[in-house]
Amino acid sequence: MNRIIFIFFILGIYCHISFAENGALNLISEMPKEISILNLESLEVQQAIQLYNSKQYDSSLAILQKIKNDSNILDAFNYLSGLNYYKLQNYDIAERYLSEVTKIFNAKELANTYYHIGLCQYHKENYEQAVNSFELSLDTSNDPSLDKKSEIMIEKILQIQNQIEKDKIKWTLGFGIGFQSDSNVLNVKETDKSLRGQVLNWSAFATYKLYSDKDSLFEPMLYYSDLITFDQSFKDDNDLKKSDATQIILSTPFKIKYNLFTSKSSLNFGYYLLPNENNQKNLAISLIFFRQDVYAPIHKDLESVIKFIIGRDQSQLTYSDATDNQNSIKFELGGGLIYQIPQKLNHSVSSNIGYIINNAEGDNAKYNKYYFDLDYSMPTFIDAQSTFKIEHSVAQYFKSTSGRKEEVTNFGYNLSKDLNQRLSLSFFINQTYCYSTVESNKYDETVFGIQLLSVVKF
Amino acid sequence: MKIYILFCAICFNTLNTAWATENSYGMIMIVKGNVKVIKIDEQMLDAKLGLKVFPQDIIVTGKNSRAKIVMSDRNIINVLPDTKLKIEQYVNNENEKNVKLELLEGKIRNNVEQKYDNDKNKFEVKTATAIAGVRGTQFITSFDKIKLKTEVVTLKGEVSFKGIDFKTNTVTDPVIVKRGESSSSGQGAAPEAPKKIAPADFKKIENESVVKKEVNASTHGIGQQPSTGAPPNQIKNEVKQIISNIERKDNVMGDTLKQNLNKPAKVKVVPEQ
Repeated sequence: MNRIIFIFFILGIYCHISFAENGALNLISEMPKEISILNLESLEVQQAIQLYNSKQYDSSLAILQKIKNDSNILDAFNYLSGLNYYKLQNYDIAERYLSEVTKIFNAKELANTYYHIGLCQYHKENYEQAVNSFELSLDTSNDPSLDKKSEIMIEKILQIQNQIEKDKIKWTLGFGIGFQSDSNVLNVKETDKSLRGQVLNWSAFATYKLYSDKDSLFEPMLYYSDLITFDQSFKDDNDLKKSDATQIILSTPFKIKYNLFTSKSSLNFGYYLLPNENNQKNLAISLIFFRQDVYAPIHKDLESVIKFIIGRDQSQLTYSDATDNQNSIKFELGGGLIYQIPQKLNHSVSSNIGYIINNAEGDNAKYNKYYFDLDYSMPTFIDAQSTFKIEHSVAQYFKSTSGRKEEVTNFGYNLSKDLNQRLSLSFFINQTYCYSTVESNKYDETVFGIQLLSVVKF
Repeated sequence: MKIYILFCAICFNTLNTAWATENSYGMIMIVKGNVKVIKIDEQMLDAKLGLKVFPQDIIVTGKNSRAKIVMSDRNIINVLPDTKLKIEQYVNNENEKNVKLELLEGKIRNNVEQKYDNDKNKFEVKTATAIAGVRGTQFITSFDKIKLKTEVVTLKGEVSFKGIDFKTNTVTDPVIVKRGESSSSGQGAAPEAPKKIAPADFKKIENESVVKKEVNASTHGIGQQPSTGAPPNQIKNEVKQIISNIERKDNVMGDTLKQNLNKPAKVKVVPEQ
């Protein structure tokens, strides 16, 4: 008897080892054949599928209950139960049933099973798990349409996760400092006196996220910028300093997404300060304006934008008597297109066209203007981004006694590179030509310089 | 007595068979290049789609070869090129969750779906110099067996990273490596303080460490480099977006058309003649 028990014992161990190994060996001896777990010979399975397809999920589940103890169609039971519970938005139970199906690695329905597990996890906001499941669906799928659906879901989740990360950040602080050499600081016709200036600029802004959810964002900003101009030998020159404007602007942008549209509205308040004869900064203009932008996709690579601005500028006493008096309500209406070139990463073209009514009090400030610009941006050498720009505008000063009209054309090139996650360096060069019916207003100008930008978020 | 022994033998065999079927295992979902599985009896098998791997198996990838293993609890192990990984222990049932992977050399990326408390329930990747323990996360562990250096990069969640000193048989205090950070540990040394990884590098690491199904080349464009997604001047674009709220193209102070970023309006001071 002991010998029989011993033999039985040894046989058991042998069976265990051969089970594990044979299972594996069988699998690797050839590529596994796909099998369908939906046993269509079973009447109940057929009925359950029909009811599922006709959206009678409860009835489908009721039929499935009849076969829950039939081990031959257990996989079909798990799969169909999972799909039905998913449709009934019972995601926990759906995931549990579908998880059983994932143990059958060569099931035809495996990719769809992973896809639905991913959907369950997505609805339960388990985004990281959902991405894994959609990736597994991609790994196991031979169906391009299912692949597409999985890719869309992964993209959607990545956007949500990015948003979650972004929402944690409240403050954004920016600081910019730059230097440029300008051949014509005052933008006037060349005289005997050199108009070349060396200009240092610096600016700073702070934004604070007051409110955000997945579709909207309210993030006020305070912006400050200043200029310090020297002559070409880096010496003080009171004439050249006349262009050293200081700007202080408070902006209250509110962004909201509605279906495919994105609206960005902002009410802005600002002060412009200019140096007086004693070279001290005086308030020149205070301004308030409302800006509205609406973005709408036209095609997957093409987006349109419409812009509208209405504002009131108020010249301060010192400047209000001048013909440059800017007291007025002003309008600007513009629109443009942004095109991301398909198959070419970070290549984009954007263009804008617009019309401005500047109904200022000063004859030298009142005009109507048309403008057009075109940008082409592309990755370029040293892993930087190059942007080529052309701008053209025509301004008609309709109150001008001399019939003043100006056409300004600007060509620009900008090379930018992020040095690290907080610092960006740009080099730029611009050439501007201004044709004016007033001889003394004709000018051209070349500017080149560098700009360092830093952004910190917390 | 004999009946009792017979009863025990039957019970043992039943349990034995149950162990074989119910024990946690993994399945190879993707194989690229030369991937082998060394079984406990030292038999070496070619890894193919659908091959099951069990505790004590060693997965070996050659040059430019990769494998993706999905464990029965849907944790994913991406085994990257030139790697030798032993599944030391993989228990995942209602009563116990205990996973120990031993990275003998090379690099792996783990996507850990289950939650581990690192106390009673552990998911650990061990090398000759360090132990990385996780709670529910995605991370990469690499081990250079020549320099005896272990490195951890956390892609999501956080990793508790400890050095091992085999001379004294002790582990060092852990450092917590958070998302977007990396840390390394040499032989017997405590892991260095975690360092932030640059976003572009992070994207690159994230993309390169995933084993994906081969796709038709035409869908990606011929000759196109794999993308890191982020434009090289992201900061400038971001600032431009923020500043765009206050941009106006009219000449607030008789300005000309100058749109350089951060260059304030330039005042035109020439009166009309």
